[in-house]
Amino acid sequence: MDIFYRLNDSIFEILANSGFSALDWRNYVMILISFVLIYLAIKKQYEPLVLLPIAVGMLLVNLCPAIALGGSTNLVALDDYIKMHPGETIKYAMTELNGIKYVNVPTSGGLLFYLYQGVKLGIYPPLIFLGIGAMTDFGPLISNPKSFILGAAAQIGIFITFIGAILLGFETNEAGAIGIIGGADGPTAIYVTSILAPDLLGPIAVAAYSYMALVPIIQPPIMKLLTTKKERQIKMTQLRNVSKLEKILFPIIVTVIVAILLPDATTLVGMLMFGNLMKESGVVDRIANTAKNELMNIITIFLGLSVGSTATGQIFLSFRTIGIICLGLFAFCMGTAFGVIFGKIMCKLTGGKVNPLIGSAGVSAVPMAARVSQKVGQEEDPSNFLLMHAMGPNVAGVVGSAVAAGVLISILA
Amino acid sequence: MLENLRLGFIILLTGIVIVFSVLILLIGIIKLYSALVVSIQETFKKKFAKKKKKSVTREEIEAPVEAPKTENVESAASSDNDAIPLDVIAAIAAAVDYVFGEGAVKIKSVRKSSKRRSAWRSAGMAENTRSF
Repeated sequence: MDIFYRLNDSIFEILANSGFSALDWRNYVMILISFVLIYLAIKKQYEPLVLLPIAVGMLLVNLCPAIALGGSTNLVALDDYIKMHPGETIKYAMTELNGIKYVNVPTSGGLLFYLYQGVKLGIYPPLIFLGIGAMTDFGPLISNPKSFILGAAAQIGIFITFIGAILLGFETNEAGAIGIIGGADGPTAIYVTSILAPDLLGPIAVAAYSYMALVPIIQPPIMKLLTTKKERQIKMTQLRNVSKLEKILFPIIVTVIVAILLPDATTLVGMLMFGNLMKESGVVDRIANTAKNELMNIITIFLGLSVGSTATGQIFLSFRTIGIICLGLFAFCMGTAFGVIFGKIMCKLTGGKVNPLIGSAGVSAVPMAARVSQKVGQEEDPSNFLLMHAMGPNVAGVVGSAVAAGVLISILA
Repeated sequence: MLENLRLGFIILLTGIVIVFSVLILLIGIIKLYSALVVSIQETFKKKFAKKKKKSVTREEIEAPVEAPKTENVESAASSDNDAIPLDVIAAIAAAVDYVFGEGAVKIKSVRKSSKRRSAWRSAGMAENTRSF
């Protein structure tokens, strides 16, 4: 009979510790959402490198919330502690409650809690920028520096959304973090949010990466709406060749200028340009390759899992999150629209030499946004190749969103 | 709310002005240094071309040489080693022409190296030519 009772107790204990009793309906909804994201990453291949780790992080944290919890302190009665550790000196602090002495025994946190520290402390986004810099060719931007205008125009969406978020009742720092989604730059969005509104990190990161993944779906209707068929057919002249010396000087000059004018953007821009200097100098191929391959891949895994782990049902499923997702989409659409509008202005000013479609690439989703410009251009004229022209505004957008991030941090932090 | 909105408009204007100012400044600086680099490189190119012309003229005076013709190389090569294919010889001639300048040197023979490269030398060569 005793064995039966013990078996019964054990089963109940296992059930009490299992997900069946610990999870509520919101966790199950999030588990379903994570399945949808896994499907989109694998079947539709929407930014799978980022979406898959995010989805798995989301799945894990909603199945087992403890995996993202930090370490805590267990109060163990002094007598019990001595019994459990005979002859051992007590290394921990003691607390006295109701005349009984307790030992404060620390317990370690879950894996995702420790990985998340890289996000919280703002370590991963600059390292991702290092890898992006080591992969990026700024040649198209150097050969046509006017592309910077389009990179700047696409950031207007960030600031307009900032107003929209305030009107919806968000605090100014939260509004800044929401607005940065319009930059379509995941690492920048995470970096700014970790400083301005860490509580919103989950929804903002998921929104930023989702919209980056959905660039080919979101941008073309806006681009077609704002341009005429004739404008979309404009063929641009070939870009000049950029010498190695120009490419080496570029990251140094940009770092110096941006760091002096906007110190808060130094971390992101500095890392981006350092990565690029490694690539262009050609003397440190080994570390440049590490930055753009192994380091980037490792950080992408850590970042994706950590971001996913912030999307718990209790935080994610709220009206605020829905507001953030809608505002993020608005920011992204505004960024695309302003890029195209400035592209049209440049088209008029240059007497039809600039195809306005390259303006949409000013949002910094590299190289997806440039590919979309190329694709929409080729739909009108299959012999039109806009890719390299669109890469200019695209990489300008990376610099532009980092500068916009610096502005928001310097004013709101 | 009203206070936040006021701050919002200030940030909207400040943000747009600063982002545009910084990026327009970068446009100016990039244009400036690009023009500078291009003009310096042009000057160097011209100087180098002049030097090269002078040295070629001197060589021509001392010992006039013919431009490497495939036929010449072919005969020379065939006498040394018939196993080297003609297209390989043509590629070697073109590479030599590219490196030393057109007509600057004459290829007398093309031979297969008798010594085989060691594993270390092969690895070094692979490392140095990987980017090409």
